[in-house]
Amino acid sequence: MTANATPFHLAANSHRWRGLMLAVALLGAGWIWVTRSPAPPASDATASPRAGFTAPDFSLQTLDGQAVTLADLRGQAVMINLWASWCPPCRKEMPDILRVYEAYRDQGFTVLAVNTTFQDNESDVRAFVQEFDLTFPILLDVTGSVSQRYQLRALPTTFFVDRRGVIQEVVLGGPMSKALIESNVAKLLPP
Amino acid sequence: MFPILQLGPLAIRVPGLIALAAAWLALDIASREARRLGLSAEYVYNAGFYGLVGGVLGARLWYVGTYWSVYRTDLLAIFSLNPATLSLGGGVVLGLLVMAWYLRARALPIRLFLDSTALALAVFAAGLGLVTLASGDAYGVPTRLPWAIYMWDDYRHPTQLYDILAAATIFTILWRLRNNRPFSGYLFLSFITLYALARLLLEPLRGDSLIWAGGFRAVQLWSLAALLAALWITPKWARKQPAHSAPWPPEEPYS
Repeated sequence: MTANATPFHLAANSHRWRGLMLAVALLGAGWIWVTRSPAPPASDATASPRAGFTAPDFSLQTLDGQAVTLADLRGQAVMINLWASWCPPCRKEMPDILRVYEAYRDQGFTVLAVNTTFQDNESDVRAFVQEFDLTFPILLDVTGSVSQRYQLRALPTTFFVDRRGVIQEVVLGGPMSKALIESNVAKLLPP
Repeated sequence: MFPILQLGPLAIRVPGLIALAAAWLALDIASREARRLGLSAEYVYNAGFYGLVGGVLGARLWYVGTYWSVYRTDLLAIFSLNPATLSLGGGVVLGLLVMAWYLRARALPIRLFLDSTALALAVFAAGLGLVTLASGDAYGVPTRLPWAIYMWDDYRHPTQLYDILAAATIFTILWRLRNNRPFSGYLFLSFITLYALARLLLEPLRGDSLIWAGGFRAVQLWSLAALLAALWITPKWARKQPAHSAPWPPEEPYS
């Protein structure tokens, strides 16, 4: 071992090292103080389709012709599920979604099943809903605007939105297990 | 942002692919460094492998433990893996513990091993920057600077690129230091010092910081603690070589 002139090694044997540590501690603490974040984080206010942001608002018609607006559901926990009737994983996870919905709807949890109608057709959607006896609102994204706003890249895609309207979790693809759905709903509905 | 690559019926998640490539490259570099320092590359591969297995297990168990009331009624679901049902903290903790257990069980010279990982850690940090650039994670706060990138409905600091630049700088510095190690563990402590410093300085530009009471950013507090710990350990390690490093012959020519 040779004590050659690396800054670390020179300092290691002297009391200057303590001085350096003290300076780093003070400067570091100062930097942390100066760069504190004004709470709550600013990104909450921006609407964007990812965890930590407000869920972008939309209004769509349901299968029975009623209009549903996401913003009207503030105060409820919402699971937005983008799906299509021809998509096998969507078909697979729908019964579990229904089970979780039935179990938690009394606690202020709702499901918006947004059908990507621009790449599906309404009669298949009706048959699908009847087959599984779905009781939550089925929304029709006829123009694809909601799918686009939510940057849909894989079917199904699911957004878990808390009571303040902030997305807490995004699940790309499926099928989701019942436990996955339920544990994410539990995040939205604190005991 | 380019999260999914569609190849016919195959939807490939680009961030996962980059992460895999970065992990492979990092492991390769670590094993080369290990050989250069006189350690068997096999140990590095094994430590990496066990660490990974422990990491996945820890991430899973932590999540299941957190939502036990859900999983107790559906035990099979514990084996249904999805990135959304993993807990990062649990993974890191158990991964490191398993790795430490492996190093101890094999009585490996731990500081030498840590030195062999320094360059690899810098490469992996750069890889993580690419991963987050593809996935849109680790995004910056809104800004109107000319190099801002449009992501998540606003013009933002390209914090992912800053991270890559910082990692590249750290790699260059470590590369210059690697043939002149005054003591065992020097390269690793240098990495921790430099990386913690980078995190401490860059974190305020992040738009997704975990904020603790009083508006303090958790990562900055952790980074300052890591930075001070590395500085505190440096003179101790410089003074005293571990006894078990003696039988590793290549230590001499490189010191």
